Amino acid sequence: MSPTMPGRPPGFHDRSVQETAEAAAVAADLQRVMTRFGYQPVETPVVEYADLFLTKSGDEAINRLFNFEMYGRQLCLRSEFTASAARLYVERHQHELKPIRWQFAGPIFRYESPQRSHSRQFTMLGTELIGPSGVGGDAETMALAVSGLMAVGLQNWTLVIGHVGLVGQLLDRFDLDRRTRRLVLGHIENLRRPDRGRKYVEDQLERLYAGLPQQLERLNSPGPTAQTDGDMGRVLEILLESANLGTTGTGRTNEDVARRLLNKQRRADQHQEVLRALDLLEALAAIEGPPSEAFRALDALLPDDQAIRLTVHSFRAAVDLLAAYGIGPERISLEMGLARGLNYYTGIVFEVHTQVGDSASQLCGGGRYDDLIRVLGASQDVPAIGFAYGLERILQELRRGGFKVVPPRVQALVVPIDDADNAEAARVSTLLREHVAIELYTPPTRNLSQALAQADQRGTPYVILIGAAEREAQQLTLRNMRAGTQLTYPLSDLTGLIEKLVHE
Amino acid sequence: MNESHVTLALPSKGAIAEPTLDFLRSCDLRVVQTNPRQYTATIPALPHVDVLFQRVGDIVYKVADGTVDLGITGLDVVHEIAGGLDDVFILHENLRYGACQLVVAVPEAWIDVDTMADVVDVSLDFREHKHRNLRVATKFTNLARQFLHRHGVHHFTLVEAEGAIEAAPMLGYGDIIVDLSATGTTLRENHLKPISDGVVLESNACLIGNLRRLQQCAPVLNTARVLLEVIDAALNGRNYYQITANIRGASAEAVAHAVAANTTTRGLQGPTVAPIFAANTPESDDGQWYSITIIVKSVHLIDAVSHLRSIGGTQTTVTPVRFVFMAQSPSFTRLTEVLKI
Repeated sequence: MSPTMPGRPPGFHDRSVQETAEAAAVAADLQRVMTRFGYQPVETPVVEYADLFLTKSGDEAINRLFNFEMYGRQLCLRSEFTASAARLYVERHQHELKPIRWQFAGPIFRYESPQRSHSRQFTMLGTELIGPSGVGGDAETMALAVSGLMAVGLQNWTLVIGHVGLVGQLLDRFDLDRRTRRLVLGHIENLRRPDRGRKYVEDQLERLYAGLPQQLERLNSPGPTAQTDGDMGRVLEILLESANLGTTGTGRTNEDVARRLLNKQRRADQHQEVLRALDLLEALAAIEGPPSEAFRALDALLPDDQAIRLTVHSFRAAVDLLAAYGIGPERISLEMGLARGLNYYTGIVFEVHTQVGDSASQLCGGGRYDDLIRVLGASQDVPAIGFAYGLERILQELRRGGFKVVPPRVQALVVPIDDADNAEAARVSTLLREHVAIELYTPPTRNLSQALAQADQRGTPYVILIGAAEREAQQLTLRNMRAGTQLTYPLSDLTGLIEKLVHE
Repeated sequence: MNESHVTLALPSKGAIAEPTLDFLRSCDLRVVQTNPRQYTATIPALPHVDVLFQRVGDIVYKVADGTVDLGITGLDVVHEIAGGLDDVFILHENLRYGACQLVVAVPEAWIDVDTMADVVDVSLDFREHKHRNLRVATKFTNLARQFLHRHGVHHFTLVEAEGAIEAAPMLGYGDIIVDLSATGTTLRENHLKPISDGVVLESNACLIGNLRRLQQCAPVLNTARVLLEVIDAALNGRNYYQITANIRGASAEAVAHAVAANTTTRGLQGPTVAPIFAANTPESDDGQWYSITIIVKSVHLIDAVSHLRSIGGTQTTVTPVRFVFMAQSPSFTRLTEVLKI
């Protein structure tokens, strides 16, 4: 590479003509299915403010956000469609008739560290169903996801379903403060990961109270315990009187520090409660299997709580409804530990997997996000559910099965034999392009055998020759490259020629 | 740029500028500045190398774009700037000087904050109670951003500042800082304390090169080889002392055996034993005098001397080892593996 040749940034890939044709064909099939379900295409920008994705995405996603700064504003390349869809809805569609059905397609970006040879750009296609849609919306979204995969020819798949909302509701029965609850909930995937598990999760949670005894000591305090908010206030006062913290900088006051210390103390008191919550999460994460079996195991864990019963009832109804879409229970695996690593899901979450050797490859995924739109500024709660396909994953899977797409082909190469033939060749090409793909032979020095060789190499089925002899006779010569035969057609009437080119 | 010449950039100012010249001198690669105000110099031991003095950050950029072939700079700026630049190759990661840490530090009076988990919690407090982001003052925006996100701090605003970062919390343009600290003194003087698990990076001086120039330009690769050979040998040499002592013994074998009886005095392969032809020392029953030479690990020096004394060693002299050349330079071997040559 010369110093002026910048090359290709790592993690970004070109698509060849063949690959582009394959991607376009599969994308078109998926889009057709989404359209048949009544989803209308919309587009959002590739660049968004980073805050949009920081608000509710999970830690893993944020770590890989492709962000950059321009004149003091934190921007990023979109890492998914859902947050953009929610923003678009809040900005322009709040007062429309609901539900709204949108479909998306385009590149998304994830910044993987340069040492790894990961891709940083992916193509995603997906839908968002915004507005109340209930059990029917849950089932429709899952069925749509599966229909698309079937339409592109993937047969070997499993629909994996979980329910983050139910897990959250069960956690609400424990006396945990909001942040601890969120943190505990965020660990459900870790609980079922063989490389992490319970020990890892407990170690992570332990860090919340790290250093607390020493910190209280620094306050010259015997470790006050406040049981009620009234106590809290009094303890805080005593602490502030006894403490000489020195300057805290301009960001926080002494009171902020003391208050947080007491919150920390309260949190440490929750420790037993956290462990009990983890027991439940562990039991939930262990539920994996066909719906009937999994629901039975789930029922055994449920407390007698009206709201929870209702959630399970809807969950079961959505799963049952899938049969009507032709998705039998044998294609479904219920996994209560499925969380998809995003913080914004509030209900059903799902992925479609395909088995590759010993490991599963995820072809698409999504879920219900009933809070996100309000968090991003809507005037009221707006329930919504969406999902997205990973096009590259699907292509990879199809190629494994020997999938082939023929790139769009030129039907005829029009060759002006001499410069004097350029005008006639251009005129004929223009007329023919109304019907078929035509390539005009343009090299400055003409050579008939070179032109024929080009058509031959590229598999162009016909060559149209226009030279002095043809012009004089007011006709053109059509050469069939495969048969090696030649025919002539009058220049004044190309209908016969068009018939032949279109139909062969 | 003369094609057969190789450019080496060295820090013009800052904490590692002088130490870099000292380091090269210790490797017998003295840098000669014809005019102290000029930004160029030569290394007489490497006549085809042109030395340029640059700021540590600029060295990384110039090596990245190939306008400079090789450079000595701080590992901190290499990771900060070259995190996304693939043409910067770290030839030697630790030249064993200029050590410092890039750390997250908060005001001392934040007695409730010791760990990154605390920083996460405080950042959420800022958002909920103060309705603004935690502000982080730093020169190292890329490393700071990655580190904070990795530890779950997502809501923060980076305040990019040059110099006097540690004053930011008191002056009010940052709540916490991410900055370099060698001894912690500057942090303490500014009433700041490091976060226990907040070490973003352990830094020191390092040698970098432009990957494409190393691949395509033989003089650059050759200079890298010479530098790495000498640096590996010099750094390795610091781990050893050479000891010479006189010992009386029945035979060379007997002396060698006695010396090698202790693991610390076995040397790299074994002791070198040579007879001393002393004119005025009469032959005695104890045998004759031998001079032994061994190389010992620096940390074993006193043990080694004690052992030599215990077997009758005397007139023990110890000299520092300047270079230890192994069969291959490990750093250059690694480079050849990466370049596949």
